[in-house]
Amino acid sequence: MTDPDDRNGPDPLDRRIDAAAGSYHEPPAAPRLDAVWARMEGDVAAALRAAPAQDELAQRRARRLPQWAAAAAALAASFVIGLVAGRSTREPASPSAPLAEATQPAPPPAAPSGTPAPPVYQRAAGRHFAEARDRLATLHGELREGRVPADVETWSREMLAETRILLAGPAGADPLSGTLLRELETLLAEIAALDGGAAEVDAALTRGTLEQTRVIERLRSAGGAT
Amino acid sequence: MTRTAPDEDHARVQRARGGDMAAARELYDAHAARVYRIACRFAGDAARAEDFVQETFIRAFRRLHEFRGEASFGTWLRAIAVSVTLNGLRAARRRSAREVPLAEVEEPGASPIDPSGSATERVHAAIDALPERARAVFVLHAVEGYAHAEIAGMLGISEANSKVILLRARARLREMLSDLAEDWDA
Repeated sequence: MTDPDDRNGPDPLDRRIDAAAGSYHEPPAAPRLDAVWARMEGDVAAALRAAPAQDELAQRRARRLPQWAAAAAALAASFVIGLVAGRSTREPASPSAPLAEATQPAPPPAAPSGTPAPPVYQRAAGRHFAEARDRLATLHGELREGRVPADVETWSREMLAETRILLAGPAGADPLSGTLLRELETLLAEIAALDGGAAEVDAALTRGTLEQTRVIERLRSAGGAT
Repeated sequence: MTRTAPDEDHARVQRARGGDMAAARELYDAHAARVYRIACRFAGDAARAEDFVQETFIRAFRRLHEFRGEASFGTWLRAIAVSVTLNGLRAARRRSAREVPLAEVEEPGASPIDPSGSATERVHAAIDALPERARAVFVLHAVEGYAHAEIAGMLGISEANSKVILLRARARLREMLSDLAEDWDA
């Protein structure tokens, strides 16, 4: 069930922490699960009665758009989204927007087999990579100086949302830009968790990621290539 | 811990969708123990964990028609359990913050670690002091033994993100407990 290579960290302290963590909020050996069932049995029966019946679901499905119409609508929607993203509108994200909203995982790319994206999407991805490169280079400089910029959460969440929009469209299925977009998604999610008061260790980890993955250099190449 | 084959679960789900209470009970028997373990690890309170188990199953049965079978029923159910438990704990924190004078409210993740406590107590206090998501990933992976792919499904994050969060959680724990290394080595 567990990845054997990261079950414990390489540090002996990690292994000892894990061993001591085994008794963290340890569940009782004999939980009263029969009593829980007895308490909720009536609610379960009501829940099953309230759920839509199978024949009703089948009718709902039959009323849906034909498959070709749904596919055409999805294609048109992703084209519009790609154009909007490509124009790189830069309205600042609302600081009150919950982080979870911006960090929802993107749906899988439309065609994971690796179809080259049409030029308009490649240009949108290229502009996105160029901006990401500038932002990340600035952030890297700040982190090297031991500072976490106050606006890091705002712009990284904004860029994360745009990355996911691109990932959901043809650029996400492109063999070149798709890989970089997925990597950028993970990195931006990590950066979005930083804020002005971030722990030193988090800032150091983010700086390490930026340096070890050489993502800035690769964004520079991709920004020029697309 | 009862294990159940995905095919058995799918058959039970089909029957339960038709209103079969015996099938609902079989699903409960097959999965309640693991749901309870997660709820208990997060809540740290057996009675409250029972409430979360109850809410998880009622919600799951109400939404049974949404289960498409793309993931296993167990994974789908545990994602609901994590959401119910974390939301329930957040709501409880908000309620207690309203009831306690502001000056006495502790910042989340700022619980003090008593340096005179035993090593195990200090590790537990350090886990309590982790931010919510870091604590969830650490507990699910290092304590309950789930793989990152399943944790990602439970928390609605990517697998890579789960690994990054675990890395950070470990770094924070090492930082908070660095002096323990000497005691353990002695």
